[in-house]
Amino acid sequence: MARLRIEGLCKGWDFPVIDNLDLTVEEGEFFVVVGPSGIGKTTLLRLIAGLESADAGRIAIGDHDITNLPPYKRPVAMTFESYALYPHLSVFENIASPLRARRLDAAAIRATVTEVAKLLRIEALLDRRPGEISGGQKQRTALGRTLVAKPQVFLLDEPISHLDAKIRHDLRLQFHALEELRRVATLYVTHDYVEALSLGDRIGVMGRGGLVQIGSARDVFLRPRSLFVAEHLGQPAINAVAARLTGEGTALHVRAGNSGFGFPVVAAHAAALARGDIQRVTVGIRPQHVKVLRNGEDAPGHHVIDGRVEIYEALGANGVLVADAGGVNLTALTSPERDFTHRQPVRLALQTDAVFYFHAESGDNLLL
Amino acid sequence: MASIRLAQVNKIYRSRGHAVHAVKDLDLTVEDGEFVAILGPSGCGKTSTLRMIVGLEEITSGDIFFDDRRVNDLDPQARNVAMAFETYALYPSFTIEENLSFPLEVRGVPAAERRKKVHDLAALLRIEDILGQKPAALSGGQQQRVSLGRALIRDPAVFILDEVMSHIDAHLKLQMLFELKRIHQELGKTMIYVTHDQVEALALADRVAVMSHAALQQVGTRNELYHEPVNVFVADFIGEPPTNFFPAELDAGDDQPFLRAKNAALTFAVPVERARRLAAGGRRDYVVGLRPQNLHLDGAESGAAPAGGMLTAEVAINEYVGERTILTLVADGHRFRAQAHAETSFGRGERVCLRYASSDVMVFDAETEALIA
Repeated sequence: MARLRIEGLCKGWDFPVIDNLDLTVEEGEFFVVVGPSGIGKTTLLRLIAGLESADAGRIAIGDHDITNLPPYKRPVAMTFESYALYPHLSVFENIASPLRARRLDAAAIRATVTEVAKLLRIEALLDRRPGEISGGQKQRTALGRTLVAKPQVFLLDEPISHLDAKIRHDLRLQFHALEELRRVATLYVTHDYVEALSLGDRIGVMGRGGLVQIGSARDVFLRPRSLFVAEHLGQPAINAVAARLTGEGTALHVRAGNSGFGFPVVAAHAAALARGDIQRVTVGIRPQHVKVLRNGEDAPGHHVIDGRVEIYEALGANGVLVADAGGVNLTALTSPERDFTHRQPVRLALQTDAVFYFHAESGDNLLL
Repeated sequence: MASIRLAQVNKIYRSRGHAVHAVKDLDLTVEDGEFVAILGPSGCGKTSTLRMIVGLEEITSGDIFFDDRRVNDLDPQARNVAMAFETYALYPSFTIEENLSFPLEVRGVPAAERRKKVHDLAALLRIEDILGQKPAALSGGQQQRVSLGRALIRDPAVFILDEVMSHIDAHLKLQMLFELKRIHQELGKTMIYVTHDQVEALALADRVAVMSHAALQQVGTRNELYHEPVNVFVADFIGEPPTNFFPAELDAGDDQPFLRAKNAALTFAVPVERARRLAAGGRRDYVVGLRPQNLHLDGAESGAAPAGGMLTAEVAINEYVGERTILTLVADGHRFRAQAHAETSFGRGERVCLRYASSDVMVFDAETEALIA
């Protein structure tokens, strides 16, 4: 049994970075921590690897308490955001370095390195040095070095975030396909929600002090516990509109500012909101739930409002449109094949049953 | 204000008997007031190009003109170029206003004029309310704006940005990019942005110059690069997920020619006119390119069904990424991707049908990798 278990972990400098964190990553589980830069994701990995010492709390792998073990005695392997390859050694020697440290014989080292290199499709590069290979290849070399270490826990720090889109897609697939990772506990940190949703068996969203929500990809994206979680997952970011709830009982209406922006609250939401007797909320509308209607198109079950195009950019995967809708700037996701001009009138269909309502002060999701 | 013209510019680095050709015969014009992005993978020559424009790197051969003036031999100061880096060094003990004002003070600009310039720029960058604060008190986004301000305050003729957004968190990036674009539109300055990230390039620039292996591949608007990529590299680099490619050959067919994936039963319909031209061209080997966005799950709405074809495949990986689902599929030994609605959810091994319009099938020459129109 090699599950990773963290209990009451604390670490801080001038202020607490990790405050009483509890987390269990099961054997074979791929757990992704996602959060903004500087929030403490790398600190968490460094605590587990033993590169930082905990102020309080306990870290165990299987039945072994490793809290006070030096780094080299911990059965973990970590890849660093900067790869940390030895520049003067070949790709082969870089991958082989943990095996040399364990004094394996030459034949066993050659066999293991070759196998891992084949898996990562870098077998043709084994004689090169880090300075002679691309970023994606360096990343795979660093990953290879981690894999051969045969640890009980993998710690991966932003391994693909800073690579080209094409390589990121390919490496994500490799993480999905690597059986090695499915045998041990893996903790993977990133600031990129796409990586988190794609790879995580479970995802932990990190905020001030620790994990503010843990769940599956659909849990954290479709049922965010707070505005912080909703704002952090999604590109373009969720539309967050300060609004008032007006009306009685289940006939609730959203109104924003002094503008004409508003829509009726669907019955299921109204029932939940009425219980709290809340007037001021932040309405969260995902750009994918704002549909830009074509001429003559209607959208049953949606609330249609008029707007004018402020910004439109077609990107590589989709188009992003920002419209002024009754004084509120709304971002919508479209097909990249659409085209719009500045100030063009558009009709926007809001999927009001997919809207979130957050507490105006605390940011808590009022529908949960 | 200035236009920039690079004519047959080359950069060759020599060290210890080795010569590395970093930039090859580059021709590129950036119009006065235009925003151009130079996009390419690491090592493609984009940074060398930028350093030659700024004057930090000697030009091995060729010429660079600002308007009609040849600037090859001018030092960086004389070119009146400002360059913004990802992180700008701000003086920690100075307020933001003092930080912005300092370069003007050094040049002897009178106090009243300095104040006016700083406040005008602060209004443009929307940082008026933080002018009295020290750098340490700012958020990442505010620091970014102040950094831009530091570069803009000197009122340069040309403004160059080197990957300034690459470490901004994904969820803030698009907003910051649109903000930078607005600033460009209000200033109307000539700007060049260098990046390896297509989202940044496409969101910002009027035109994007795609580089690979030291050479310019194509310059164009987003739609030109996306719909008419000149070669396999551009088709692969622009678009996300990347384009699917299938080595293919022409099959004469019973009534009209079509393309067939090599060593596989996959076939691709191409528009009649193009099929005839391919058949008349006498070429043998092709590469078919099909974007993940243009493969539609059977049953998904796509308006009136245009002429096209269908692929049957097995789902290998179903990646839910929030706004959409990316399917990795396998058909007869070929692996490819399709972009589907977020609600899509298939198990490994499930069989799916994907439709495509024949007008979305891109065909490249397998040998030269050039697009066949």
